[in-house]
Formats: sequence, C-alpha cells, structure tokens
Amino acid sequence: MTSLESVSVGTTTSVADVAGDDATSLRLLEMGLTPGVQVKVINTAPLGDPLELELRGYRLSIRRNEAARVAISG
Amino acid sequence: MASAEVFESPERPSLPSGQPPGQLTVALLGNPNTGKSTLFSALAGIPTRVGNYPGVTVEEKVGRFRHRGHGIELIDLPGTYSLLAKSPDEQVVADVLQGQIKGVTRPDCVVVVADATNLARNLYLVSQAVAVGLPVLVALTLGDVAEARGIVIDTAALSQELGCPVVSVVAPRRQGIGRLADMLVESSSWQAPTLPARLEACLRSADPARSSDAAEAIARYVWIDEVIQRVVSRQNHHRRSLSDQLDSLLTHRLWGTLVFIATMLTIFSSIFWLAAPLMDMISGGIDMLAIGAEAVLPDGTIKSLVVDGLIAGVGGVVIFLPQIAILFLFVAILEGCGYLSRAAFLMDRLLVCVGLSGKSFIPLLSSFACAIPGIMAARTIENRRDRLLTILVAPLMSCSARLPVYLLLCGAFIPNVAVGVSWLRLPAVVLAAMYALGVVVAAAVAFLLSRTIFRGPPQPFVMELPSWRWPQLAVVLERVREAAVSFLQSAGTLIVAVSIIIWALGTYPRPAHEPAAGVEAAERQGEALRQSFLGRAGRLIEPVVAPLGWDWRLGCAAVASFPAREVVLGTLGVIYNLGDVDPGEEEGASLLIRQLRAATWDGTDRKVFTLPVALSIMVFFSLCAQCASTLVVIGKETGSWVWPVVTFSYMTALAWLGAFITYQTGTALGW
Repeated sequence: MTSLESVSVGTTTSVADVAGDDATSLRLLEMGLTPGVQVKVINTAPLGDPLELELRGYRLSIRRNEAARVAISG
Repeated sequence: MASAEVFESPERPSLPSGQPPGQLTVALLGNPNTGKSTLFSALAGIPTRVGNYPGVTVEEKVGRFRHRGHGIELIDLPGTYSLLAKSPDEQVVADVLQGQIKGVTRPDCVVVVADATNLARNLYLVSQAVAVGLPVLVALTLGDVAEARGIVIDTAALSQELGCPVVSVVAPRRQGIGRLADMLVESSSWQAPTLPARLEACLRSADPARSSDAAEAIARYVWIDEVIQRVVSRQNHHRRSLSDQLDSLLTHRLWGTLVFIATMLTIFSSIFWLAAPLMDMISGGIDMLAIGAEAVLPDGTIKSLVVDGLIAGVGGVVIFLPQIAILFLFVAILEGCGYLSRAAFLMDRLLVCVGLSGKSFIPLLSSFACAIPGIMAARTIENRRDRLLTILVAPLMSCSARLPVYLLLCGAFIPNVAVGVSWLRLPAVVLAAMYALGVVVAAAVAFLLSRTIFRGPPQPFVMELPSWRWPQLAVVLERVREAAVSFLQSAGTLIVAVSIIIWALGTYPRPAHEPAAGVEAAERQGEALRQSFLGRAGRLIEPVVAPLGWDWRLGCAAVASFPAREVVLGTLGVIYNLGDVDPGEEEGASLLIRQLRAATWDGTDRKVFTLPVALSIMVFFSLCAQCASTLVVIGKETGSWVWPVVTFSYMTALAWLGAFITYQTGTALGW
C-alpha cells in the first residue's frame, strides 16, 4: 500500500489507515488523519521535509517519517 | 451566524463544595491558536498569577474578574489538542479538570474555546471535555473570520448536538463577552452534560482490533463528521482565502526562504541595535545611582557593598531587560500571526541533522544577542526533549556580552594585517571565527547529546500551521510583560546574592596595612584584590590555568567573571593596574589595552599577553558559561538545578579544552 510520503505536491488523496498504536500514530489520528479523510499535500519545506498538508479545513505539518505511517487509498 | 442557544437545564440548588457563595472557578480549555489567550485577556485582563504547576514546568496562568457580584477565578489551561495525556502539558490539563493537583481548586465549569474556522478538529477536544463530569460551555471564536471564508455554523444546532451551551464570541471586539460572563455566573445551575447519544454509539462501535485509544480517536471523528454535516454549511467553497495565498508565498521554497532570512535579520539586528540605546539609558541610570550612593554613603564596607555589590549586581541584571522585551515583542507578534510555525517548518530539516527541531531556531538565533531571552523563548517548543536540548546548547551562541571581550582582545593583540584581500583584516576574521566556533560547537554538542543521554525514540513532528491573522495587541503586550516580570523575579533575586558573594570574595580579607599615602587609588584597589579570597583563588587555580598560557591574575579574572563575562574587562583593569604603562604606545589605545600589553609574569620580563594567550582567552570566553543570570534562568525554565550544573560543567570543560588546544597549537606553530 502507498503512503502519504510518496504523494506529490498538489495532489489530494484519501487516508486509508494510520499504522501503529503508539503515541505518534495516536497524535496523527487526533489531529484528524482518520480513515476516509481527504488530504491535500500543499507543499514541502525548502529541503524537502517536512510536508505541509491540508485536511479538515486546516493546515498541518508532519515530517516524512510520520507521513510514512499514513496509508492512502486512491 | 445563528444566535446562540439559551441552554436550559434543571436547577441545581447547592453550590459546588469548598467555595464561598458567589465564588466561581472556571477553566479555559482549548486547542492552541484558537484565540484562547485573547479571550482570557478580554474576560480577566492581566493575569493575577503566573507560575508553574507544582513539580512540573507547565505554565499556570490564573486571572480574576467580577461579574454581576460574582468573583470569578479564570484558569488558562495550556493549549492542548487532546485530554489523552501524552505530554506533561496534557497531563496537567487532565489533572486540573479532575481536581487532582494539590493547591489548585477543581474548576466549577469548563469553557472550551473552539475555533469556528477549524471546527472539526476543535470538536475533538470538545468531545472529550463533555465527558469529564463538569458543566461545559463552548465558546466559538473567530466566527468573523469563518464567516468571511463562507463557513456558516448553526450554533443552536451545534448546542443540541453537543448537549451543552454554545456562545459565539469575537474577543478582540468584545462581542459575546458579556453574554459569556452572564452564562458563567449561572453555570452553577447547570448540570454536567451527558455524553451525546450518537457519540456514545460511535464509541461503542469502535474497532476492537486497534488499541482502545486509537479506536476511540477514529470513533470520535466519525461522530464529528456527522455533527459537521448537520451544523456547518459552506458558501463559495472554492474561493482561495487570503490566508492560503499568503501561506503559499511564505512557505515557498525560494520566496519563503527569502522572507524568512529577512525576518530573522530584522529580529536579530533589533535585539542587537534597537536595544542598545535602551541599555545605555539603563546603564547610565545605574551609574548615576552608583555615583549618588557613593556621594551619600560614608566610606567603608557598607558603601562598597551597596555600590560594588548591590548596584553593580542589580544593574547587571536589569541591563538585559530591553533585549528580553524586544525579543518577546517579536516572538509574540510572529506567534500571533502564525509565522512562528512557518519558521519552524522551513528550518526543521536543517536542525534535525544535529538532533534539534525546527522550533529550536528562534531560541538559538536570539541567543546571539543574549542567551537569557533565547532560553526563555524555548518555551514555544512543546516537546520536552527538544526544548531541553535547545536550552543546553543556547548559551554556546556568542552573545553580545562576549563581544566586548572579543573586541578588546582582537584590537589589542591580533595583528592588523590583511588576509588575502586588502579590506579583509585578520582581527575581523578572528572575530567571525569566534562566532562560528560557538555555532559549530553547539551543533556538535546537540548532535552528541541527542545520540547519548537524550537518545530515545524519534520525536514526532506534528505541527499545526495556523491560519494567518492579525496579532492581538493585548496578547502581545501581555507576553512581553510576562517575560519581563518573570525574568526580573527569577534572575533578580539570585543574581543579587551571587554578586554580593563575589563582591565579598574580592573584598575580604582586607590588606593588613594601609598603603602609604600618595599611592594611586587604582593601585590600592589592585593590591586589595590580590590580598582577597578571590586573589588567593586565582593563585590556587594557577596550575589549572597554566596550560592555557595564563598567569594567576588571568585565572583570578576568569573566576571573578562568573556573574557575567563582560565583568572580566573591569577585573583585568583592576588586577593589572601596575602603573608601568609603556610610554611609547601609540595614541588611541585605551588605558586598559596599554596596561594589558605591558603586563608581565610576576617577577620576570616575560609578557603575559602573547597572541596564543589572547586567542586562548577568547576561545575560553566563547565557550564558557560565565554568566550567572543564564544559569539561573536555565534553572527556572527547566524546573531543576541539575541542568544549570550540567550546563556549567560541560561548558567550562569545553572552554578549558578549547583554550588549551588553541594555546598549545599556537605556541607550537610559533605565533
């Protein structure tokens, strides 16, 4: 399954799942990255990391490390 | 927007226990960047108490106000996204709401501040708050911004869905504030909300395959999506908001980076140059005070204590105030408009290489002006490990107090020759090298610490990039006031004590016999210092400083400069005032420079200050932790005396090692 890390800038995709049950995964879920939600990759920082996302009407920044946990569908 | 629902609930006759009638404790809960601080200022004005919760370094902010005969205590809880505690901040929030912190009254009701432009994610915390067993009121902020973006929220329907009252407030314009206060004083008549039936149903059908917390989080969002569908309608959905346009400019690879560099240069130069006239004014005032005290007080111990101990000590602290105020002014403005998160976003990758995070950037940059505001600015880093690491390396940045030391020694002992091109002079290169040294060593220390004592699972970086908005003046000013007061309180008390101790060590025991008449005052002072405990300490540590190329007097000056590096200039002046200044010196060189150039090792003709010695002193002062105020502030900010001790020890060790390598290499190369 592809992860949010591999999504190119400007693309909107849908979250399938967030792998893992640790504090980081829980934080991602709590910030609204739950299954079914639409996410757009808005931008990356000048050195390619972290990513800027748009979801649920707000903007969130996560590192590629965290994005790799987020499985996407479509 | 629809007007807020009048919430009806059965009467509850008795007031909460432990509170006199008419007294009410209200907790302000909310996500970061929701306008919670603005609402706090609008309700309670300036906080009556700012401190830390017992045993943790989580800020406790309490305000009081009166409304219709009721005294209301407002607790501003730290901004949090969740009540499932994953950080000390969240733990404190959860504990306060449960009444589990000693000395903190359990609130009588909770106001959850929710951002109308970002309702879905804000409802997550609301969905947890309605389950804590306290009466809950939702204050919907930024409704004006939401409306401008075409987001329309039916507050009456939202109130129905949540089972608690919802009030729209636009805090900067004081809209809805009176109504909110009215509802608070009536809150004793409400009951704690029951969990909304649909939320309960969602939670019951949570995925059993996941951990209960993860499954619960997913279930809460299932419910939130349902609520949003029913209460939020969107108009002109596709219009790109000004905030989004600004955001794409400011996080742009090229433009974003350029704006970032320009912003940082502005801040940096402001703390450097804007503060200078204010600092001059303060030091002028202190000088006048000292002159006044000198004139009024009779000669003797008291005079010396007041002038050299107290006034000099307090003055040494107050002098940092302009830099702190200016830095916090910028930090508060940048934070208020949402730029601070963008700066962290832009710089993150670079700082991750050395084990820090993007949020360390502003504290570290500020430390070039002064480590104290820099260390205080590390409060904006939520992650404990990143914050501590930032605080530990911040004092390695060459602060403005090192500059006079560098300038004096570069000017006096570095040959003014061209390096490569005619306009590039060696003293300037050495000066730049001293600044670079601090950065390189800080990066190395952070890298090492993050892979040794701070090793652990990678720290997640999940950061909201809040919408652009105008900073609120009240919040900005409060931030500056808070930083200034907290600095004066913490450093003011201890630094005075340290100054008095150093004064006493440099004054006692007094010379056995009065010097003969006609001896210069400066020379008398020098003799007194040599006889004092400080002078003896200098001789005692001579074997330690000898490998650095220093004589006992330099060791003594280093010890005496523990309260503040720049003191070393004064101490050197006092300690080397042998009066045998070389008459052949060129014009323009200050008396101090001439004295230093003339200084020789006791009883010989060998000069003390050679090029390797001057370099070794500079390297020492670049890496050492000779600043009592910084150490006190580290103690306060980390809530532990372990970290100032660690900082002092590692920096002193590095400083000695650096000075040793410099002197030995320089001598071996025959400089």
